[in-house]
Amino acid sequence: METRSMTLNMGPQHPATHGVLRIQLELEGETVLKAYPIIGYLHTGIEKTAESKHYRKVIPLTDRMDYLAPMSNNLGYCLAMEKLLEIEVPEKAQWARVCLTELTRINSHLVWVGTHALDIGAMSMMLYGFREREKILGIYELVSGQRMMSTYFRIGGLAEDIPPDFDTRVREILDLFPSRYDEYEDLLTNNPIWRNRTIGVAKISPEDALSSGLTGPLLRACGFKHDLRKANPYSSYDKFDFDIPTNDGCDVYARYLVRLEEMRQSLRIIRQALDGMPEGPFVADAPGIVLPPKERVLSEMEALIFHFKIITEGFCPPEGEVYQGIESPKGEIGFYIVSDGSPYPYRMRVRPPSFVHVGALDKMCRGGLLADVIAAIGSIDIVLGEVDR
Amino acid sequence: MSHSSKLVEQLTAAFPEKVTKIELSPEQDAVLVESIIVRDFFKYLKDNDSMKFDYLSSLSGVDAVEHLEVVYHISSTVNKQKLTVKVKLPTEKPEIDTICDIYRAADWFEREICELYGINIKNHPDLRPLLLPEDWDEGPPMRKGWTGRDFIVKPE
Repeated sequence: METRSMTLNMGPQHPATHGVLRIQLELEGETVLKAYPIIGYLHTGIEKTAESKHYRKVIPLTDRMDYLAPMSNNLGYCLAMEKLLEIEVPEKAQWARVCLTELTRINSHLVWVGTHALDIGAMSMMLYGFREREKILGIYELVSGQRMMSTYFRIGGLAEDIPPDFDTRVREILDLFPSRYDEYEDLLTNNPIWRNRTIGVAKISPEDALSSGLTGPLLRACGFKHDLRKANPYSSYDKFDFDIPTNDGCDVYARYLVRLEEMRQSLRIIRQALDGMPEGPFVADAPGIVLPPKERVLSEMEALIFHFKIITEGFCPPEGEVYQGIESPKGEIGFYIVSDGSPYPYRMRVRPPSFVHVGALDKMCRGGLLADVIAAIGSIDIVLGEVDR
Repeated sequence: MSHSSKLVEQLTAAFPEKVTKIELSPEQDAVLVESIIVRDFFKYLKDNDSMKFDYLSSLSGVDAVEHLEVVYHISSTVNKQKLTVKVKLPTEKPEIDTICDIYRAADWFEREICELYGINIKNHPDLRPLLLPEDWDEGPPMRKGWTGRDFIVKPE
């Protein structure tokens, strides 16, 4: 009897692809022979756009890539620029950044656990995940006035000082969240349906994972204890005490366990950051690069001139190039910036983690069932805004 | 002499005249590699015991107007080393060998620079457009001086 494989088109408007991702699947019965992801539906040319923006005007663009982790993207870009400009960021700003990027990590993981569980059929998780995320968006609004596209970090520090009730508001989260994580675990960790849908699904071998460039929770779920916060500390991460969770499962369930533990570790880091929050300025003293405070702009001639020049002409970093990778919630997000000494980036390249992860989707899905493709997509935690840029 | 500059020395010694040291910043090791030996070079980086560069973090294209550059940021999780590798290509008919069988991560990165910079990747298994539409006919958009529909050119 002659058999033929079937081609099935999944997406781009499929609710479980987390955005506009299209996957061409070659199937034999229900078994996936080949998965070919097609991306680019959200391609907005952010790298090209950045080449015609002043350096400080690039920051809002970075928010719009991974819109679930705006602060991490801001941090990556700002750190790269600070390296290029050789600016020392004040300690307070560094600690506030750590605190906020860890909140961002929780934010991103909460959306992930909600949507991923929803895809697999545990519908209530979606509501719980988004309930907790609301608290974090409240913090974003408190510090920056924006709930999603916060653009709170600046080259040299923060846009404004952290507000007085920041500490109490974040501590509310610290007190509330551990019990909420326990709830998620009650719902999922030992749930037989959840375990059946995730254990042994979408496996990738540790060698393939490293060669495919997987980073973040995906790599750690393959047993690699690799985390840029430890391997290559930035923004004072070396002063914080935390563990890197790993798991040897290499499957969807292992990724779930790693991310859940990461959320707990993030709370640990945030608590340390709040307890030890240093006093001092929130932005570096770098005239001509950092905007002077508003009250000085209104009273001093020199400050007014600097303000005017930064806004209208931008600033010119020295010629050179820099690559800075940071551990975003999804993996390594890298910023490669080439400067030709003009106020515009000559080249701004983003190394997005999700882009690389989607590239490895085929490897994970081959030989699995069609329904497991959904679990695989959920487990790599993609944001298409970042994949396509 | 720091440990890291030994790395560059070893590489320039292993590929004389084909690999040269370049200065980017004091803490960043960087080499310029001739495009004809790219594959041998990366195989050496991956397999040599003192190298063990197992993780390609990023692969970028840069249009330096008089030539094109392909920049590899690569690191070793075993030896905790990092290296920046640059390859210069001519603006007319730029071509480079694929390394996607050595580092799988290079697969999509190479497709990306192929469509955005018009760099032909030799022996790549699948060079269909990744980010751009299939019927794109306005040339590689990341090249300097490229103008397309609705593109607002940077103010002088």
